[in-house]
Amino acid sequence: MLRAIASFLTGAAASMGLGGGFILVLYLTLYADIPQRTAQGVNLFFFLTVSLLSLYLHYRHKLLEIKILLPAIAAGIPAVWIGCMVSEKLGSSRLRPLFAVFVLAVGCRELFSKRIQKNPPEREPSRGSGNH
Amino acid sequence: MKKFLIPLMGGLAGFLNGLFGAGGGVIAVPLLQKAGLDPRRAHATSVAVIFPLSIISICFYFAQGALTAGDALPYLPFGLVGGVVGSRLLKRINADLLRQVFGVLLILSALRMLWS
Repeated sequence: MLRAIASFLTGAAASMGLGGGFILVLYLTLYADIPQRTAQGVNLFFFLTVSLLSLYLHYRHKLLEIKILLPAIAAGIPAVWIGCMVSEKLGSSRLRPLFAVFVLAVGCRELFSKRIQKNPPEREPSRGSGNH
Repeated sequence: MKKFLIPLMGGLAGFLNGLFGAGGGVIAVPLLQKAGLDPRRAHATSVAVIFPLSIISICFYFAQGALTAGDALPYLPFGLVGGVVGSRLLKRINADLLRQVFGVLLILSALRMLWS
């Protein structure tokens, strides 16, 4: 049951670009006792499968900004290689606390940015920043 | 659109994707918004950027022996359902509330991870 909930939430969050991978990696490492790097690999496999469907739906909804994809991906490819090499060098035991600190920082940022953005759109709805 | 933000976003998302196998979207979405995209387009476009980067990452993970395909299969069925639901909710959901709930979930989980 917990696996089903974690999978569902991961799929939903991933399709919204929210970082759903965190949910699955946290579940796998905290509750399923899977090593950090294996959990990360499982999440990549999971993301690829789920996001294929999401990409199609986003494309149909005309939500993709096609022209920026090439420069972003071109810059990302060497960075992926560096990240994978660093990840392998660190190994699961040293990656785990590093990942936890990163997740903690992201969680704090999400809460903090919520407080900043809460009031202005309600007071000035005429600016229309896509919030509908 | 601030053009320098796009390769910066790609590089940071790629590094995190390789290092943690996750987290690219967390960096990509706000940078895409800073580059001028509205929140919904930023969310959707971040998925399109991270998808090919994840293909490269998973090739490295397989090559490094970090996982087998069988490790991931049990999580796919409900994940696919979640993906469909998430894509449909993206146009309607209260993004601020979503971020707040997500933030709390991450903080609690990270603390547990550090303590365990």
